[in-house]
Formats: sequence, C-alpha cells, structure tokens
Amino acid sequence: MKQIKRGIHFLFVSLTCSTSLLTFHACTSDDDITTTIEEVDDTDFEPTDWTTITHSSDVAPNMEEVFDDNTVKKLEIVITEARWQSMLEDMTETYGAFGAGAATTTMNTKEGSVFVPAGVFYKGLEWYRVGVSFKWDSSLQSSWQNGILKLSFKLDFDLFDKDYPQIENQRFYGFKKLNLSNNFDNKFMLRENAISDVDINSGMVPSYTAFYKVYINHGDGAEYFGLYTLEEEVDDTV
Amino acid sequence: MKIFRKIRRTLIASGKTKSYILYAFGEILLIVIGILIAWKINSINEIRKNRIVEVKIYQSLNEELNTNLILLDSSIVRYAKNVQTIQNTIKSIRSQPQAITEELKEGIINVKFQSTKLQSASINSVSSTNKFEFIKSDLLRDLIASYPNELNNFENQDAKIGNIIINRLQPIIESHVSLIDILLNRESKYNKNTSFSATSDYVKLLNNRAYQNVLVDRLIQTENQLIIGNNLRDKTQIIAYKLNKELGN
Repeated sequence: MKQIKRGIHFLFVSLTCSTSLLTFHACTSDDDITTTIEEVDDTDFEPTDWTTITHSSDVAPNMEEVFDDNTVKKLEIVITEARWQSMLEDMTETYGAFGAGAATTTMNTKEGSVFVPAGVFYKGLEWYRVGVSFKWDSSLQSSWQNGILKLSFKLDFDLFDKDYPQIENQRFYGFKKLNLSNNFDNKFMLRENAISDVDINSGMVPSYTAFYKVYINHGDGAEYFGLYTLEEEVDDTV
Repeated sequence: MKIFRKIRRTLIASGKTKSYILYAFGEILLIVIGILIAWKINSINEIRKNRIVEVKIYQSLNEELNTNLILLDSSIVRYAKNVQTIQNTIKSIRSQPQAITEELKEGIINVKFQSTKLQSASINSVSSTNKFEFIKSDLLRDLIASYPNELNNFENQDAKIGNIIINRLQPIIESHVSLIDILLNRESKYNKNTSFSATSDYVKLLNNRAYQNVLVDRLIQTENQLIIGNNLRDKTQIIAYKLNKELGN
C-alpha cells in the first residue's frame, strides 16, 4: 500500500515537472531559439552613419522612403565569411546539402534559420550589426535543394543590441523588422503588391511592399542575388 | 611471330600431341587477352574523347546561360519598374480629382518597348542534335530539354507586350498627347518652358476607356512576363549550377 502511494506521489511530481517544462518551452519565443551567435569579436565600432531620422526609434516608420513605389531600390548586405558559412551550415543541417536535389520527404520545419549580425547598406548609409537570417517560407527548402541561393531573408535591426550596445533600438527609417521575399513562387511578388493596394483602398492596415535589388557580400565582393520584395513585418514591435 | 612459330614447329616435330594442344590453347588465350586489352584501351579512349566533347558542350552552355542570367536580371528589374509605373498611372486614373503631375506625365509617355534577346544557339544545338547523348546526368538532360520551351514562352510574352505597346498603346497616346512631350522628356536641351505641349490633353487620355483597357492589359501581360522571367531565371540558375557541378568547379 505504501509502495503504491509512493508510486502515485512520484507520478504526480513527474507530471507537474513535465507540465512546467512544456509551458516554459511553449512560451519561449522563436528568436530565443535561433538568435545565437558563437562569438562576438567586433564590438568595437562607432556608428558614424547613425542619424535620428534614419537609425533611431524616435521617428515614425517612413513609408515613402522605404516603400516608395516609383523606383526599384538597392540594398546591400555585408556578412563576414565565417558568419555566412554558419548560416549555410545551419541550412545544410536542416535541409541537406546545397543543390543535392529534392528530397522525397518534405522537412516542414520553421526552425533552423540562424540569425547572424551583418551590415546593411542603403543609399550610402550603414545599419550596423543587423540580425540577418534566411526566412522560412514554402520555397526555402526547394530553392536550397535545387541549388538556388536566392533565398528569402529576415532583417531585425536591433536583435543584437545586447552584444552591441551601440545599436540599441536601431531602426531602418523607423522599421525594426523587415523581410526580403525572393519571389520564388513569383505570384507572391505581385500578390503582395496587389494585397497592399487592396488593403490601402479598403481602409485596412496594409502590409507594405516594394521592389529592391539585393546584393550580398560575404567576403568576395557584392554579389547580385536578384530582385526581391521588401515587406514590412506587421507586429507590435514597430 | 617467329618465336611462336619456332615453338610450334619444335612441338610438332617432337610428336608430343598433348604438349602441342596445351601450347595452342595458351596461344589462343594470349590472343584473346590481347584483343580484350586493345578493346579496353579503345573504349577508355572513346570515353576520354566523349568527356572532352561533353566538357566543351557544358562550357558553351555555361557561357550562354550566364549571359542569359545577366539579360534576365536587367529585364526583370525593367518589368518591375514598368509594373510600378503602370500601377501608379492606374492609381491616378482612380483618384479624384486627377492631379496631372510631371511624374505622372513621364509615366504615361514611358512607352519605349525594349525587347530582350536571350541566347539560345548552344542550347538548341544540344537539344536538337546528337550532342544531347553526351550529357550523362538525367536531371540535366531533362532541364536542358525543357529549356527551349521556356525560352519560347518568354519570347512570345515579350512579343505580346511589344504588340500591345506599339500597335495599341502608342496610337492612343499619340492621339491625345503631343509627341513634343516625349521629346522634352528625353532631351534636356529642349526648353521645358515652351508651350509646344499645350495641345496635350492628359485628363482626356486618362479617362479614355480604350486607353484604360490597354493599360490594364499591359499591366497584366507585364506581370505575367515578370512571373515567366523569374521562373526562367530560376531554371537558368539551376542548370548553370548543375553544369558547374559537372564541370567540377
């Protein structure tokens, strides 16, 4: 009888512990999972291009500048070779070797895209140590496995402010998070623009988009990655 | 050979039938081994020659694909700009009152059609001749086989847009807008303060149903071309990547 009682007690304690662990895990944000950088050895820098209008969180998001629909703008992302490699290794771990061909099973995971600090250049100005990662979408796996490196990106402008206090509350013309969509499905490119227009006309809060030519420099000079759609990430963090 | 003949004669002369048969069998075996070695050398040489042809095909294809990638990249940006311009013009048509800004005027008279001439000589010569047999990778063969069709789709769509611009859009614009405006837009040496463009009626043009319909048609076809161009770029990139892999780069 005593043994049964002890067994029930043990079962109760284990159940309580597992529930707490599960709750804690569920409450952990995605960023906590994916925003690890192994070493930070470039903390010594001066954000010389920083201005209130372009870099600070004290201004409202500048829609006309970022989502200007009269021109196709240019954006350059500069990532160190080591960090670029860590992004690629992370992708290899999740989706297999680059260009290895389509796998028979679909690895439908939203994890595995690690954020690394990178410089973002626009109109001659630099945004410092911006969190950059490959963005998960339906095309990520097929692009990677087919040997297309024109993948979608996520940009988070003050993700690494703990490691780099200089970029605390850094914004891109008032925006904290932006996504660069690779338009792999192509219909998305136009659909996103069309949806934006419909939203504006119907009085809904629209998700703005604009065309950008994206260059990535990961050690061998700026490489043209293609035409992307810049999208505002609509959440409460702007 | 003299030495074999000598051995044969000696064996016949000595009357040792068993030894002679054994010797004959050995000689036949030697000849067979010799033929097999020659055959193998020949096939190795064939493989080497085929590989040289294969690499040459891959190299010419690779150059062509890289050129196409550059052309497609600039075309995709141009189509995106055109989509933006047309969308802005349509927005102006829908807005009331219609404000005829200089930017809008520029968008309206921006009817220059630039055709994209993608290269296809190497890919056509591979897919329509026996060169195709030299490509070993099945995936690459499939991609190369379907590539000319993709090129055709792109060219046909380009021609469709060209037809809309040249045969439908330009005549409507010319009936409402003075060509001087286009000249003023292109050449800064012509003074913008001149009153040559006084005869242009942009409001009437914007409210012309035929113009509106052609504009929407151009938008739809340009959007389609953007989709086709993007797909083609992806396919071109995949083939180029696989070719580079085959070339060992």
